[in-house]
Amino acid sequence: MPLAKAGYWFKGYVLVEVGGKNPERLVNLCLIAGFPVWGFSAGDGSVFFYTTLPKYRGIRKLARRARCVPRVRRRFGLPFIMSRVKKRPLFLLMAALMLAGLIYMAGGTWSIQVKGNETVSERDILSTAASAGLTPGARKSTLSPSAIEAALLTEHPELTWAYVHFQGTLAVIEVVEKTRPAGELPGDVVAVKDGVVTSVLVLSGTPLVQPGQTVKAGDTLIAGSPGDARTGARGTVVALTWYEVYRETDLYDPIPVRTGRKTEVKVLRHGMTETVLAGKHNIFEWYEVEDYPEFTLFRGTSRELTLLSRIFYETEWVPQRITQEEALSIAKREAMEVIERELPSSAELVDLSYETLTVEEGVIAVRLVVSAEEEIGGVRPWPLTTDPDGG
Amino acid sequence: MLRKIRQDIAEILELPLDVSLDLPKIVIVGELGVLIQNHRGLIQYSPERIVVGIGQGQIAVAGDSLKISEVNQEDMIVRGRIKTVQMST
Repeated sequence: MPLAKAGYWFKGYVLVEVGGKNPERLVNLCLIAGFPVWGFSAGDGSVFFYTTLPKYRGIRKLARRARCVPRVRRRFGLPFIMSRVKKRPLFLLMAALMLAGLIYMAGGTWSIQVKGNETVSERDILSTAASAGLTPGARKSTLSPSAIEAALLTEHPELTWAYVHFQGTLAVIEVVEKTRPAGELPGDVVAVKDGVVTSVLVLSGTPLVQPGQTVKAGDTLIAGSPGDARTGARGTVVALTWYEVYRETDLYDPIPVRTGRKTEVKVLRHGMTETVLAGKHNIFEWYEVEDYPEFTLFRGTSRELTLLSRIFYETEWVPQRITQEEALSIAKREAMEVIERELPSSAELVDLSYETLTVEEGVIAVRLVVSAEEEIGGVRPWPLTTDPDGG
Repeated sequence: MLRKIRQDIAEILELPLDVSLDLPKIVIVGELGVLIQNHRGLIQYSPERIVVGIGQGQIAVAGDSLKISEVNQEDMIVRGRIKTVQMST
C-alpha cells in the first residue's frame, strides 16, 4: 500500500470532506465504483477521506446520488506542486540557479589545511602547493593531488611522505617529516653510571677501557673518529654496578585499642538511606562501629526496612612493640621494592647483601646493597654544528 | 437449504468455509485494529461506532477515535481504540 500511495502522490490526491445526511452511502457507492478511497475519519457531522485527483470528479457525481456535498479540503501531490510552480516561473528559475551555483561552489577549493609539519613551515608548504596549482578558489577538477604531492616531496627533502585529499571544499595536505633516531647520531660511547667494566665489545671506534677497570659516569668508553670520516663509536660495555638503599623502621607500631567507653544509636535503614532515631553519631574522636539488626520488615524486597542498634566504641592508639625480625622484614621488603624500581630490566643480579643498624632506641635500620651486571654505555652525540649532515 | 448443501460439499472437499460460503472473516489486533474481510459496505460511521454490513447481518465495532484506514470492496481496516466487536446475524 505505501507504494500505491507513492503512485497517488504522482497523480495527485485530495482530502475530501463529505457533509450531508448519509455519507456512508457515498462511501459504499465509491467502493462499488472501484474508486480508491482511504484514511476515513469523522468530525463535526462530516466524514473526511482521501481520494485521487482523477477520481474526484466521479465522486462528485456519486455524491449527488447519495445526496451528500463533497468539498476539497486539502490538495497533495505533484500536479498541485507543478501548478504552483507554473504560476511562479521566477521561483523555479531561482531554484535552478541556486542549485547550479551550489554545485559550482562545491567544485572549488575554499580553504587549505596543513597537518603533520613541525620543522617545515606551513607557509613553505602552501607556497609549494600553490605553485602546483592548489590555491583557495582553484577548481578541484583541474587539480592533480599526485602532482602536488610530488612537488612537495621534491621541494622539501625534509618530508618523507605527503598526501593531498579533499574534504568537501577543504583541501587537506598531510605530511610526515623525516626523523633521525638519536642513537644514530655519531658520537662517543660514554658511561651512564659508575661501575667496574667486565666486558667490552667494539663494533666501531677505539676502546678506551679494559675489563677490570673502574669507570665513573661520563667517562668515555669507546671513542669515535670525529675527523673527516666522522664515524661514530658503536659497541657494548658491560660493567658491575652497585645500588644501595637505606630504610628505617619503627619498632613501635600503633594499633587501635578500645577504651571501654561506648554509645548506642538507633538507626532506621531504608534501602540506601538511613535515619537516626535516637542517640548521637561521632561523639568520639576515634572509634569502631558495630551494627546489630533488631528487626526487618519486607525482607528481600526493594522496600526492606531495618531497625539497627549501632554501637560506637571509643578507641585510642596504643604503640605496640613489634619484634626485631618483623621490623627487619618490613625494612628489607621496602628496600627491595626501591631496588626493583631502580634496576633496569636488562640488568643481571650478581649479589645482594644487607646490614642491620640500630639508629636509636625503638628504631631499626637496614642498608641493602645490590650488585648487578648491566650495559652502561650510551652514545653522547658530537655537537651538531660540526655535523654537516646532522641538519 | 442451498446453504446447507454448499456447506456439506465444502466440508467433504475440505474447502475453507469462509471462501466457499462467502462468509465474513474478522481479525482483531488487540485493541488497536480490526480487519474485516468480505464485507458488504459501510452502514454507519462515527468516531465511536462503525457498523459494517456482512452477508446476513452486521458487524459493529465500538471504541474511541475510530478511523477506517484502508477500505476496498472486500477488506476494511478499522484503527483506533477498540472496545467491542459485535456480530449480529
